[in-house]
Amino acid sequence: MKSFRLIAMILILTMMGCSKKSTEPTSANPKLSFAPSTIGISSGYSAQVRLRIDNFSQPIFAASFRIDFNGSKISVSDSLVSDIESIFGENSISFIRIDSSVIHLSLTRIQGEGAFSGSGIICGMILTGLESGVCSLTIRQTESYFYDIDGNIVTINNLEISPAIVTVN
Amino acid sequence: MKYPVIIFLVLFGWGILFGQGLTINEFMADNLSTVADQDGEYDDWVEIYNNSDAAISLSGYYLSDDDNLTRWAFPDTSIPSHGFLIVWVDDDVNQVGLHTNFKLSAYGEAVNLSGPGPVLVDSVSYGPQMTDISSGRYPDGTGSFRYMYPTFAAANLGDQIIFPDSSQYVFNDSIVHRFNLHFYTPNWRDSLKHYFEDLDKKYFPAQLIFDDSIILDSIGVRYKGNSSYTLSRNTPKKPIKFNFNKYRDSQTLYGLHRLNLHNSVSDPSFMREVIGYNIARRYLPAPRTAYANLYVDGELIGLYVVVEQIDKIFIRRYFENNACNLYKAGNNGAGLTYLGENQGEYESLYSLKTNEDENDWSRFIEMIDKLNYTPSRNFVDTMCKWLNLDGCVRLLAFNMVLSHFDSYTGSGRNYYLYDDMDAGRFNIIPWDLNESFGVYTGGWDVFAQDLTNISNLSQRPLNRRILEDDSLQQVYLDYIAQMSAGPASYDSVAALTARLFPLIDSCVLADTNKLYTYQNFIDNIDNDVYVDLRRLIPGLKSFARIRNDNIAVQLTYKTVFPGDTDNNGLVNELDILPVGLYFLTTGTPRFKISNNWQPWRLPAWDNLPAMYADANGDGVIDERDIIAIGVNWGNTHIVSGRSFTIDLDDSFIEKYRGNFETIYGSLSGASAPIIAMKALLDSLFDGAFSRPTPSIFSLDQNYPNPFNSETIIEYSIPQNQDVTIIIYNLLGQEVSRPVNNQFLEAGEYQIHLDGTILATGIYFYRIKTDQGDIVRKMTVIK
Repeated sequence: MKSFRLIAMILILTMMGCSKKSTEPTSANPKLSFAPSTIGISSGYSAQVRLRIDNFSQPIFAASFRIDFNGSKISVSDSLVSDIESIFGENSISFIRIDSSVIHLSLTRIQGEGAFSGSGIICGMILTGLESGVCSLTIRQTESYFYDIDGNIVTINNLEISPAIVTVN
Repeated sequence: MKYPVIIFLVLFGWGILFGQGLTINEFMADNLSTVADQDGEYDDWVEIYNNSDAAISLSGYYLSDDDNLTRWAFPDTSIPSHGFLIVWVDDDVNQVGLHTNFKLSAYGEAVNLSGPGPVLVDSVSYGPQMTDISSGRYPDGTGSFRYMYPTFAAANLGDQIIFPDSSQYVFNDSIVHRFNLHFYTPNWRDSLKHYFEDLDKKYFPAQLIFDDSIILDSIGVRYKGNSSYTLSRNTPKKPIKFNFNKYRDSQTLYGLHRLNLHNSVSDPSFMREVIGYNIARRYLPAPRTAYANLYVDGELIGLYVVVEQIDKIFIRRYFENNACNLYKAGNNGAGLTYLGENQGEYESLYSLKTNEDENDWSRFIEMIDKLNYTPSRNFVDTMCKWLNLDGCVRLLAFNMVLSHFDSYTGSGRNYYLYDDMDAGRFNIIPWDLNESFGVYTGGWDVFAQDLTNISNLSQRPLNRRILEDDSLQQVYLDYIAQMSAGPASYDSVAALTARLFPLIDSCVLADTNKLYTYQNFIDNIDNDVYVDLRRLIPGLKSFARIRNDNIAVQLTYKTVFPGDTDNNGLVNELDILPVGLYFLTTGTPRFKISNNWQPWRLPAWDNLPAMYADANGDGVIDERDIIAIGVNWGNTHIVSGRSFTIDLDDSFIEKYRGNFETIYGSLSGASAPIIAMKALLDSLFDGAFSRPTPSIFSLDQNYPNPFNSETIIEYSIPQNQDVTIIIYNLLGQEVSRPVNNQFLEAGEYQIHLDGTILATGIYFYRIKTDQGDIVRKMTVIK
């Protein structure tokens, strides 16, 4: 019995210590985050990370972001993953430009289409490990903009922004 | 009554002399928009008529406007029998045609036609002329002069004659009138104050003698105004309103029911309302003005500006039907914002001045609803059926040129709206100009307020809708240019002050109750003065100079439509190119960062094409400028200025290949716009960009595996780099190097590996790149 309890405790502790895969956020606040939120890749290998929103009650038509990353540890592909069902739909304009260690990213629907509200994926990006270490993908809060159908900036109240942690082995 | 007769003669000429069949037959001294000369200029003109049965040579004949009868000589030309000849009296002799070296005054002077000698052949002396109305003889050649719609170089017609109402006598602004009141109680000051402050602006009876000739018993007199009363409350000289038929139904003063006497509060120059309304009347229904000394039982109260009341009498001068609803904006600011269907909400901000018994506000509410909510694409077509849009544009231009911000444009006060139901449209009418020429600031820079970037547009839907519409904004700017260079120019304002100064100078000096000093009066015509604890009152002429200079600069601004980055009038895939070409270029940001589809004006950047690429106006070209392309995709506009459609000739595209390639790589997705953009870019470089670009660095398992004679190895690289692929045996020895340090562009590749050179066994194949190595195993079976 004692050994059973010990084993059970070890199992529980192990489960708690495992890397958490990205799950649906539980808070009702609107969120901007990466999925997965923690990524492990080997040097020279690539992995996909998705930028997503959750719990957006206000309709958005376009968005722009600036995302910092450590250019010595990872590289970011200058094109977005194509087979993603983005909240901006099939008929959107997406623009990504990598400038040293900053990702300049904009996505917009085109006039005539409706805006989006709710939860979903904005886009997918490819990260490639370059050098061992831990770094992050950090979305600049003050330089994240969401736009309505008229191109006006929409204020998303109580927006929670989370980075992604990347470990390069 | 003798005075009207004298005035009549002054107005319509005296001492007309006939000679040799030539007469001055018609003239126009205030030509704003009727007939233009060959250069498109609306100038004064005189029509000469040959009333004889033979052609007459004009060689040796002259025109003048003063005692110098030979001031301007006719060239060697002639007028046929019963023919008409037009001479442009525009002080512009260098123009081709008949153009004199003098102009006519719209306020009154003389025109002389002289023959050889010189001998005076014909002459007419005239008084104030109306804009776009001529004075002409009827019948031609022999009749007296009458106001008429111009019959340029043609016979004057009886049905073109107009009959100005006699109230013009009250507004003769070439003299200072006299209003002498007699109250029936000695404590009239206390009574007037009590009736105004405590009895809700009730009238008080008095007798009026006008210009020592007209006696009106029992007119209504009261104080008036809000801030103008408050600011002068402790002085003897307060603003006053007369109501001529208050106690006697049919009593009028030359047809007028009411009249306003304004005490020039906030205007040391005494000229703001007179000059302001003079300019306004050229563009809008606007009150007439004059000057008058007000006396009570012979005691001078002071010099007042007489301002026409906006009522049914006024309305009749401009509209066929004067029985419709007239609304006035209240003192709390009335922005024409939609407040719902509840009439009570509007009654708290506006007042209905006519048809009060019917009290029907339904059309007013519906007009405001449409003003606020009609979609942009339908705005002009819809609203032109509800509003005199041109008049609204003119008022906005007028308010901006004169920095009249205690108006709809600024405070939301001081305007009327008349619902002309015959035409089915509301017409806007300005009011209360004593704080024009930059006195009321509302927190704005009266000298440099931006013509289109106005901070309160969200509360002023009429102005906002005008400025958001490409065509209306252009009309607005054209009116700005016209006013600023014409009647509101420094020269015109200076000329008006020069005419008014001698008229009122002695009256101002004699006015011991005036609100400011005589020195303030003198100074404020030219320069700024400080009154009332350092309150700045801009000088009339100094304001006109500074404001018009600023407007001239602003009129050189460029217009940007967000998303049309090449300014070719259409938002399409071509608009991605400037964003890429000028990425991270900076310049002057616009007044407001916005992607809204409307004309935005700003000073030109040094790098002019880059200015249009700054789609959102934040002063930097970056990924955010894509938003405007998407939001406004497919929108069109009338192009003003140059287009910067990129000339895709070989030298240009080769020079900017890197930029284009970066743009190509920056665009992601499979939407129609992206495909169009990429296809355009790809076509520039013969499809070099369209090689598929994988997103992952990979080395696939070969197939078939195991293999005998041939196998295929596929690999992909997401970026351009050097690639080496090496085949090793189990001992780690290199047996083949199918790809040897070759620089490859991002893409997917295949190698057909010849297995005949390999013995049976297990091998490894390795790919080496900047991104790292990948190794896989394959098996050869013979």
